[in-house]
Amino acid sequence: MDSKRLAIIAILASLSIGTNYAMISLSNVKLMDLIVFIGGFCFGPLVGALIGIVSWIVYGSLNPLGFSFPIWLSTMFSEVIYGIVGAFMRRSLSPKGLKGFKDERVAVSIYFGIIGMFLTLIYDIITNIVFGYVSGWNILFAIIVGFVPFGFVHMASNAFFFGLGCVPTINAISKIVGGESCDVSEK
Amino acid sequence: MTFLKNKWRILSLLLLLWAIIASFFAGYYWLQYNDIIYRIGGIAIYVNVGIDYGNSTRVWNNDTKALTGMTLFRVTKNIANITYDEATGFGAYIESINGLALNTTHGWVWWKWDTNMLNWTRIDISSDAYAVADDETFLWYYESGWPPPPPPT
Repeated sequence: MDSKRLAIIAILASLSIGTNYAMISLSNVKLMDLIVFIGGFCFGPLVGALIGIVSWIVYGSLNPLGFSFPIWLSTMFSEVIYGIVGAFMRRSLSPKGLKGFKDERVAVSIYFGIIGMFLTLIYDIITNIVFGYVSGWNILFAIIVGFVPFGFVHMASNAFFFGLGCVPTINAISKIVGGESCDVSEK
Repeated sequence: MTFLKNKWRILSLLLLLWAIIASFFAGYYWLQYNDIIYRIGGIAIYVNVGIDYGNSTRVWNNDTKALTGMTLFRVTKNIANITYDEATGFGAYIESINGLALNTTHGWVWWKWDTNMLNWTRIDISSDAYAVADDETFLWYYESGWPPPPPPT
């Protein structure tokens, strides 16, 4: 891994951690998932995954809401999903798809919003299963109670953030970094 | 949607999301419902219970409040003074209602008003085995004979 990618991991992880602490009063409303997804989308699965892991290493261990080792591990490794899927999402676009970002901005935003919701659902199911296991609850009960309302708020906020934030953030990153692995800045 | 290789994939994903979210909400409200039922003992329902003493005296207790799952026996116990025997092996056997006791020729039989057939129907189970439903109408009839003749409408 070159120094540029390491710097990108550090910067995006810092941004993710900083926004997490800034939004700590808003339960389950965070920009971290979007940042990890963008990292994976622009710089590949390894970078995306590492942004998620580094973010949770800091935010999970120094968390005013408390610490639980199994939940910490589950959130850390579930967060990786955003980065990895972000990278693979790029491959699901058609060859001329990235250019379509400018022409079909609303459709692209809805697309990213749906992806954000789906990834959040998977993330919440995994972490709620671990939470149910740790707390001794029935697993199905833990999934359902964890979903309403917290999981739903998580999904709705991520749908909003992904829908609204993906395209401008991808474009901004590609312009600043140079777009060597992110050609969405092509005119 | 030219930016996607397969637009149906995203539509399928959306439908899947919808199904899962709806299922979770259904599950959540099911848990809430069961919790409330458990805590309050049931949902309030209203039934009509009449007592016919067999001498042309019929007293109605309309809109008697009950809870879902409550038996006719419990509803009757709430509105009248009853004595009963549980040792018969056929549930709670009513021996007297409001002081009028069974004898060698007469006894208490309960009837349910059939809203479709518009007549009294005898349900051949003990009153403590029948869970009442909202808006049902019952009649305790002091009578003789077997099979017991239906009460006059």
